[in-house]
Amino acid sequence: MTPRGTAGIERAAAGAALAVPGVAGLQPGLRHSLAVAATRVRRAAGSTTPYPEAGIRAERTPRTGTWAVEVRCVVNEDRRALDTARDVQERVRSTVEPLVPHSGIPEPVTVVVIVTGMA
Amino acid sequence: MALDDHRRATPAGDEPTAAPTDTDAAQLVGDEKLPCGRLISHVWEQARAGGEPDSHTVGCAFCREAVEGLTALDSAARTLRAVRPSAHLVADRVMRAVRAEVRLGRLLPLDDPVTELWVAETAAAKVLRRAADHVAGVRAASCRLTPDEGNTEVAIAITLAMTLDHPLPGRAAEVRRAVACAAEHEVGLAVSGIDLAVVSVLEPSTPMAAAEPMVRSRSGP
Repeated sequence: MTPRGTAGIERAAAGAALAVPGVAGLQPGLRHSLAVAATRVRRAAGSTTPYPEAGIRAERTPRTGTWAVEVRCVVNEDRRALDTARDVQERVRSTVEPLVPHSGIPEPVTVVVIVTGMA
Repeated sequence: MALDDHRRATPAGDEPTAAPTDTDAAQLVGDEKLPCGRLISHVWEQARAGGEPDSHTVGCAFCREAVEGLTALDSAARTLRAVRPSAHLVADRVMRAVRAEVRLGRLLPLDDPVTELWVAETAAAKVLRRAADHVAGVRAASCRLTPDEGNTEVAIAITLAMTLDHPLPGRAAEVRRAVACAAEHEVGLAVSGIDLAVVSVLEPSTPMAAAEPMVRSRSGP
């Protein structure tokens, strides 16, 4: 697959996480919440629904050059949170690794999953 | 673009030859070099020019990331210039966002050896309080979860209100079993210990009654 930038990786990771059974939604991180807080234009109620990738943070570690992806999700209570988190980690990792720019050798991607709510 | 409204244009593909004199976000970081060796200012000038990126930029993750970040900043600056929200309004929104983050509580490791899977304390505590509430004559008042150092185990401390129509030790054991079961099978925590404190008495016919601390017990899961 074609390597993508951070935004593309976050979008792909969001789609992969949301496709896992037991994931109810993604929760925006503080970075996104603060950006929205600072710039949100007054609009009709309901128009500020965050886009899914707001619950994903992907960044390349300058020192090592490897990618780290953080997923913040709300999971359904009908499944053990640990099992859902494991599936999210695997699904996101297998989705993101082919998208990460590398020089010939596939690089491992660290995926951290944070369950922020159980609904 | 908003970030460079006051900047001189620099031809795409050339390194800037002189430091810009105006102040904007791109200028503040312009002298910094990306890990690939390019100046951030050069990358931004190139993106601002709007032409086709050169062969280096096309394949460089660091350049692309810098452009994405500065583009987002540029968009935010444009919005702020157009809307001009009051400082009070922005401060309110920022504080709401920070409070929402703080309400999640600390992050606890799920029972995974790699420690890349976490759960927010409030999310896990809700499940454990409910497990305690399911024991007849018991209401959970608070639930604190503390990660142990050096492993992925978590210590649970719960305060309870109970009716006195049954012996407390037996009922506490029932609560402990219910909480341990929920921690393992609903959340996926490795529990190092469950500390129960009965802090209030429930009348059998009423939901709550104030009282003083009565019983405290602790054991493993």
